[in-house]
Amino acid sequence: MCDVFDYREPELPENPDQGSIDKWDSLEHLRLIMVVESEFGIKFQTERIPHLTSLELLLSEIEKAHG
Amino acid sequence: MGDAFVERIREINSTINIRPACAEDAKPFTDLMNKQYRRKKKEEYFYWQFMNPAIPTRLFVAYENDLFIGSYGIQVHTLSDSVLCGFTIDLLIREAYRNRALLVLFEEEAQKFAIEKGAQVMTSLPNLDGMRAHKGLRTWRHIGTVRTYTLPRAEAAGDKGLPEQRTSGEELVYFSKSDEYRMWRYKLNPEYKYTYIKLDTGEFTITKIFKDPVTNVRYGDIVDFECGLQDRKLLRELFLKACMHLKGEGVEAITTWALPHTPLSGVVESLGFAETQPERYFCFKAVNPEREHAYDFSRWHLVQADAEIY
Repeated sequence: MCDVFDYREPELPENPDQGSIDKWDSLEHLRLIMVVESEFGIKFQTERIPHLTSLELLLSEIEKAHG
Repeated sequence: MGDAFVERIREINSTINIRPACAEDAKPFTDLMNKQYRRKKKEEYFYWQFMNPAIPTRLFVAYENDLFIGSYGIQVHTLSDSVLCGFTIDLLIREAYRNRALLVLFEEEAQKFAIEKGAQVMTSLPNLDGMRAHKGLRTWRHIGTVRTYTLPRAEAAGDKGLPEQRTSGEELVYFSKSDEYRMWRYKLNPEYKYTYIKLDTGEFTITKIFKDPVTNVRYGDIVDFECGLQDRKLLRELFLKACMHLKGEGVEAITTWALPHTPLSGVVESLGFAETQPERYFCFKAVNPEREHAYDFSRWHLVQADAEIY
């Protein structure tokens, strides 16, 4: 997340979501999704992707994928 | 932008169909636009802008089944150095369809159209959100911010001298406007009424009166002009005449655009105009690498009418 949004780790908001990170727009959202998919070796369901708009939601989806 | 990234965007948007607009799209287009913007548009705007344009223009629309998802328009203008230039307008994406990077697919279609028509560069003058969206594509750059010059109380300083010349203005590039284009842009415009204010020597300004729907303030906008940029005395006479006309029409303030690196900025400052809020964000992309020098904002001269909202 830090790499995609050019943040140093301590600067990242406590519960990062699309509302708290200016750079988290539509395109950066997909870049983040692809980085997470490649990092965790998973592929999110297409229809879920637009809704994964916070770290919490992403983590929960990663857990499900590893289910 | 990597192939894998674009392929994933296609996959995510596989249920969405993007195609050139037709007359039947007028209603869903204006409905979505009026939902998202404060300045309301009628269907006449759609027919004028996209069905009867004076220059090559195409609107691309996106649907999922029968639901209108969004739009992205492209015009192809001729610049003063004869280079053809794509200019993007009317980016709309339905709220529920954000986070799908639909702009990437829209932009691909728009650029294809512009290149087919001979464009070597792409430009846009969006608001802040639109600028961020274009920058996000990573192939576009935000090269300059256009601030509005405002003359409070519409009172021009008639007797003030001209400041030092800043630049000659000879090398500046701008959007050319033929008589035919101006006829379409101003006389046939379905939204606003424009007035030509002429000097005896033939130079003219084009003005518009706009009432802010929120504050009810009546503004006079000097949206365009025809006059050599080198002759500052004549420019001053021209703008002074426009200000006096607008003052006579009872406007409460007058606005115009004058980029700080152009001779016009010194002229309007001498009349009492001052730079105010950022208005538009000039974004640029050189499709032909030979045009990369135009990333330099100090080469450009822009007027309010270059943005489709004026």
